[in-house]
Amino acid sequence: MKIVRKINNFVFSIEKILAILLAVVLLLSLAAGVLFRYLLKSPLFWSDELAIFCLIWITFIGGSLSLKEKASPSITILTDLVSPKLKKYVQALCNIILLLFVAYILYLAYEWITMPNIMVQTSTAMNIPKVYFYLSIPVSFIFSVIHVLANIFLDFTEDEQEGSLQ
Amino acid sequence: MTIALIGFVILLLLGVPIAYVLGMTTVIYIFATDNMGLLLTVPQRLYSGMENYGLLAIPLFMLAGELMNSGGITKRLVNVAKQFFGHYLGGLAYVNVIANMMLAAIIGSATAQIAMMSRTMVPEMEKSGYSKPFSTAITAAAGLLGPIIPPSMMFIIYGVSSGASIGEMFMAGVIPGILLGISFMIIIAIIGMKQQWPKQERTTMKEKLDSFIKVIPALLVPVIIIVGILSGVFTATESAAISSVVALIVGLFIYRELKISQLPNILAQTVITTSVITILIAMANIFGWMLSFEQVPQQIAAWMVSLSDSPIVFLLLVNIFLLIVGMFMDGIAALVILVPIFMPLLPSYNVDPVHFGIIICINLTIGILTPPVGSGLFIASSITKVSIGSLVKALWPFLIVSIIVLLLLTYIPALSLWLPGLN
Repeated sequence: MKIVRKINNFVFSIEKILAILLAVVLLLSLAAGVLFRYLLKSPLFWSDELAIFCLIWITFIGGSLSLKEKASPSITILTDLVSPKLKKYVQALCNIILLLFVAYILYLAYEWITMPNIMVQTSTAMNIPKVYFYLSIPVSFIFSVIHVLANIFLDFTEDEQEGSLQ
Repeated sequence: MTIALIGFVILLLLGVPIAYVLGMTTVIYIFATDNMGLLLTVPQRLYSGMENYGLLAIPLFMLAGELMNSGGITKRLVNVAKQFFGHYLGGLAYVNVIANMMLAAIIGSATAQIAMMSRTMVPEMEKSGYSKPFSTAITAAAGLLGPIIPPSMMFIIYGVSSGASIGEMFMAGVIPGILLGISFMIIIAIIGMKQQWPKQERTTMKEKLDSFIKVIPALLVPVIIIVGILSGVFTATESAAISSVVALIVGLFIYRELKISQLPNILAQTVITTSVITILIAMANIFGWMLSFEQVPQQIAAWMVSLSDSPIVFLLLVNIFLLIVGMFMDGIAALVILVPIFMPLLPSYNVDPVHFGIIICINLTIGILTPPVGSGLFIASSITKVSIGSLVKALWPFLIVSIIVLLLLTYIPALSLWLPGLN
């Protein structure tokens, strides 16, 4: 299971670096936008679009990060009532459902992004291919699949470790 | 639709993250109704919900809050409130509310605010002889001001999903926030009459001035937001960008508690807290599209109008419904799910979208402190080690007064609409 943890953490550190870069660019581009609009009186045409580009990547990369960190809110009123042992099984079931979903969205996103009309779209302000925006979804969902798979495996091994201690 | 609805409830109760439940429900719906051609629009809609200028304010206000927190703002705000109000009977209880009101003008999330203030205020109150559950209850209740006094994550999300102006929402929150803060202080005064609370030493004028000068840089943030938006110079997103830059400069160069080495972690944390919200909005976009495809809002609207055509009854029912939802569900998740359902109802009852936004956001914010499920309760109790039970017991006067204020705001629209109307 060491290898699972290693891959999981490796993906996590890539995401973290991406996240930090995106957040910096988002802040800089909007701050520059304000500076140029109000102080230098020559608005930057690209600042809003670049910031939105960053936000979209932040959303999906961050979505994957929060699956690894288990930070996404869920309703726990029922799962808190059942016994700890049953709770583990319910969590495993949730993770398997989640895995099916993120893998399916990954497949749909791949089908979507390879459609011929996607390649010719360009963004309105910066005039760069839209596919760089769209790629945020398949890339992040590859990461999500890895994290959810790792969560399932790691929850299992932690189970065994607890079993061997008793 | 029935299959999708059943799937929705089961997945929620199993504890699947709410954001993903919204996406799964839509996929189930597409399969159940055999509209396979719609499947490829799922990633497309997931994406297009994010192409929104207003959403940019979310990471920026998150970042400003994180930077201010690491930059040492909390203890300075508490200090200035203590200098001015600490010498009254039960002084620290008022200081708690006032410091929270100031902090609420800098950050926009109740849970973040409860976490920050529970760490600072509760140990301090306990040291001075207040009971721990009571100190925690005041801190948690005053944390509700976070998303009501601008800036506010709730208002940004409401603005984005309803089409209401985020700037107007921010202005509309000012008076309700102050009203709620004052109501908390009245409750403290009433409770305080029966108890022997300590007071702090009176301080000299010089100390007062000194502490005030120290918070001026931090209080630049609310001034930028309010003046900028009211005068129409800045959009909410632009004011968020300026707030982040101010927070960075204040933390690094004026208070000098923020270290460059902390920045990577602050940025990563900002990305995670942002994405928890924005991924919900992305998924809610496809979920809302499914609802409108099935004309669910229209059906609910027709049913509501047949039930009563009085706005008074309508708003009362909405409030009761939202309070129940808030007991079980995260406020932001409930907001992104319910706003598209409620919006088509407003014209039938002549309710202003900004006024309705104040009602729904404040109602769902109260929900973070109502048992059995309330993220604010969990955060406060895990930091201060007060059991949820005794926290709720100390909290109920504050919850009741919050609901009274909510009803006032519901039936006196001018409280919300007067300030944005000045523009």
